Amino acid sequence: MRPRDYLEPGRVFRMALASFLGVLAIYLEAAPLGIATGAPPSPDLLLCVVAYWSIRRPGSMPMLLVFILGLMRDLLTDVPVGAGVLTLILASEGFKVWRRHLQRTMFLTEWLSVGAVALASAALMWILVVMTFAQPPYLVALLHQCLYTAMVYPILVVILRWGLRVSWSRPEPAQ
Amino acid sequence: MAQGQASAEKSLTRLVHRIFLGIAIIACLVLLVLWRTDNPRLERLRMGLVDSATPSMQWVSEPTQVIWNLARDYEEFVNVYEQNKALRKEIQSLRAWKETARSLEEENARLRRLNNVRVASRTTFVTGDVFADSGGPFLQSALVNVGREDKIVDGAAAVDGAGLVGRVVGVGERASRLLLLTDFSSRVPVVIQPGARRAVLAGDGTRAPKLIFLDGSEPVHAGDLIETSGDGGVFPPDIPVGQVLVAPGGTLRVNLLADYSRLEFVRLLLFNPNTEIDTPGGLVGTGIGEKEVTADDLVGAPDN
Repeated sequence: MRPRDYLEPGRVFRMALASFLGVLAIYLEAAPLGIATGAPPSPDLLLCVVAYWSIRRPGSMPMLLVFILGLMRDLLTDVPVGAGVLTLILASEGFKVWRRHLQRTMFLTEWLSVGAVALASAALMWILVVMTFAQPPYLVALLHQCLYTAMVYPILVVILRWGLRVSWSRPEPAQ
Repeated sequence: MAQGQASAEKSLTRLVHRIFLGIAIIACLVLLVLWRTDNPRLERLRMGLVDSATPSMQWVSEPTQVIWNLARDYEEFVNVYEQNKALRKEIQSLRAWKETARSLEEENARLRRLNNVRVASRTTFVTGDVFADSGGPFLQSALVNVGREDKIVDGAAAVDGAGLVGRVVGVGERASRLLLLTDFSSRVPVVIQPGARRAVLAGDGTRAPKLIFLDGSEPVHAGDLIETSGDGGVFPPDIPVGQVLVAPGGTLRVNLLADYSRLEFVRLLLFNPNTEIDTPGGLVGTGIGEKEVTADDLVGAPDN
């Protein structure tokens, strides 16, 4: 994609919408619903938003936007700064590569892929934290978070697909 | 020809994309190192972002909390009439206690005046609204909507109605970041009553933090009260923290008094420890006469 393509009005609107939803996802993640230890962790809503957008509308979710949203999430919700952004960028790039395949398959495949990526992201973050000699969280808590993330994804898909009408982008002419 | 040009343009775009991806990965790793080394610039960036995001975060968190609480407290709403009656009754008895406390405080003040007792520094507090938490399993922290504007300082103790909740680890203009007692990196000097054995309360990501570095040899029993010791001068002494739990392996843990599941408001204590006079500066010369005596006056005084 060329830089001037990002200035197309429709794409600018979709990027603004994606940014708004990303920020809203961060705020909802940060809302104090379960401060007590052992309370259910917040699902990784930002990963769900980025995944949906990277699969359906990759042109409206550029790497710079993913970086900014990830950094904002890391700083506001005390995720190890840098580790959260890194996993989010890698997840987004992975979805952009697999999107053609996911478009041809059932929604179940997409759902399982998002769950697997959430699990892989959590594992990578855990490894990065261990490598920096910081105290990593309990694996059970991370698994719970991944489970909640996977459970929330279909709900988000329904809201974005049928509520906000964000659907698959048309194939690019060059392809 | 055109096809070749398009192909070249595509491969160039892909190359540029890969370069940007590499730069982003390196930037993330640099950020991780800065986070791990507790870089003050990163903390300033965090608190600056928290300051600017506080109003909008509250717009989202308040209705979300209301919906969450409604769902959680549905059963309690069913019994609201009985609860209201019980609360009114409790208020009546507390009013009587309030009067008793007031008269005792006045009597105490009179007696202190008579004895010429030096009163310890008074601890005041600011109440803040908890509008965000860490959300994930990596850190047990929360954001409160009071900050430097309200004279909050780093290290201030946070309590709820029942006991110690945590301490301030980052202060912005309008918001502060609290590290909860349950976090892995939380360490608080405490004293076990009765017996006055000192120990350190160490968070380990569970509901009941551990007691480590116990001094003395008096036995500790389940149910003993834990209070802050005030060692280090960061926390005021005698803030209730919790009660001792003896885990199956013999490990001593603490059942926290603070109710983390309903943490909506916290009080941040503005604690000023007593001034310790550890240097003679300020005592020599001042108050003796009108003129302040300087080092030159003492060393270089001409012999008459």
